[in-house]
Amino acid sequence: MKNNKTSLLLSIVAVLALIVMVMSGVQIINTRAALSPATAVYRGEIELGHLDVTMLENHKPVDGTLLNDLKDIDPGKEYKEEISVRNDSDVDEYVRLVIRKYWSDKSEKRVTLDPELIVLSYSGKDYNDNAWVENKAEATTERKVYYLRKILPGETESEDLFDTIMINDEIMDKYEITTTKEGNSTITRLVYEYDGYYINLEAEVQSIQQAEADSAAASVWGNTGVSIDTASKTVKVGE
Amino acid sequence: MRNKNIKLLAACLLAVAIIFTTVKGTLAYFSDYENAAGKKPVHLYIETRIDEPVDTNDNKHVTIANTGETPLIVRVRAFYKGDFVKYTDEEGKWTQLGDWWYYTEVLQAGESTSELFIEIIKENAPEFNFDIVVIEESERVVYKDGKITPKAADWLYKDYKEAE
Repeated sequence: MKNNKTSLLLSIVAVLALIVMVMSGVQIINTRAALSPATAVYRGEIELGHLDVTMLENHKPVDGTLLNDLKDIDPGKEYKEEISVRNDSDVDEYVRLVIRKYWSDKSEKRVTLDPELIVLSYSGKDYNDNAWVENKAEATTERKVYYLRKILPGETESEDLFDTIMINDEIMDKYEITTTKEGNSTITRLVYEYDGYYINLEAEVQSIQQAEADSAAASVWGNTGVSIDTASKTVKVGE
Repeated sequence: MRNKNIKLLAACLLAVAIIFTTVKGTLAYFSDYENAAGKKPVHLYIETRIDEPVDTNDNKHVTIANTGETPLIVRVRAFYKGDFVKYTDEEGKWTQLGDWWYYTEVLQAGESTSELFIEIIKENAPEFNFDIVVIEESERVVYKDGKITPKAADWLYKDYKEAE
């Protein structure tokens, strides 16, 4: 009885091993050693392409920080803030930029002040008129997503997504005023609602391969309603 | 016992079949990304101080100090009864439009205006006690295309327009 049980288990193991080998595509072939003249060694190499996208601020690569050239910011005044991307690989890629703008306090905690008062512009033109197109389906008051209309060739730089940043002077509409008398002097204080808060700008550039771009876009960017016309190598938003 | 072994074998075969039919291959796509972030504080706090010391002849020496954090445009006005007050601006940095005197330069944080001397003309002054009340208005400078905008100080713009 014991021998029967052992042989059965061995049979099971053997069958399983055979199934695994067959389904894994392993082939057992006869090997044979034979003397043969040596032949020249031919070697082929296949190099896998890689994507390398770099964000540029004022046409210089960023090191993880933005607003580097901005010292002070006055309401209603436009400051140079040119954001673009560069394809540092030798293969073409499709690119999108995700922008977030919001207000925070000194402790870096987000506050509910109006993000729309942080204005990013491209020479006063609508985004749809230039190389980038916004997918409004992905937009919130804080978050905007822009797609480069055409594929970005290797070793090239895109046009600017925007080139100025400004705080709308409406932030000065809300304030409280107090006056105190000290001897021959009168002190007046205006405390604005937005005083002491920080404007925040975040950007993330995401690129995908050109082969099977539609599937890559769905996998990497998600279900955004954006499609890619591989024939014309253009990104279609909301079409 | 034989049935038990057959069940065991069937279970093993089923397990192998499940593994090979449910674990599908995964597709990976080439992609790359890069992040960056930055922030800047916004200073809007305005604080001004009117210094109006009175000399022995009851004249007032008015200056406005910008004790806040931002550049300002300022104007002052004196309230009094009768026609017995004379304004003197020795440095020529104040200009009068209507009842208001405007400081013609942007007053930077930490700076003070030049003096606006308010002199009482005694011969015109009434004999009863009187007082000169000085008020000041200031507004933060707002730029547009590198210039101070009318919106920066609606009162300034309106008064200029009325003076034209």
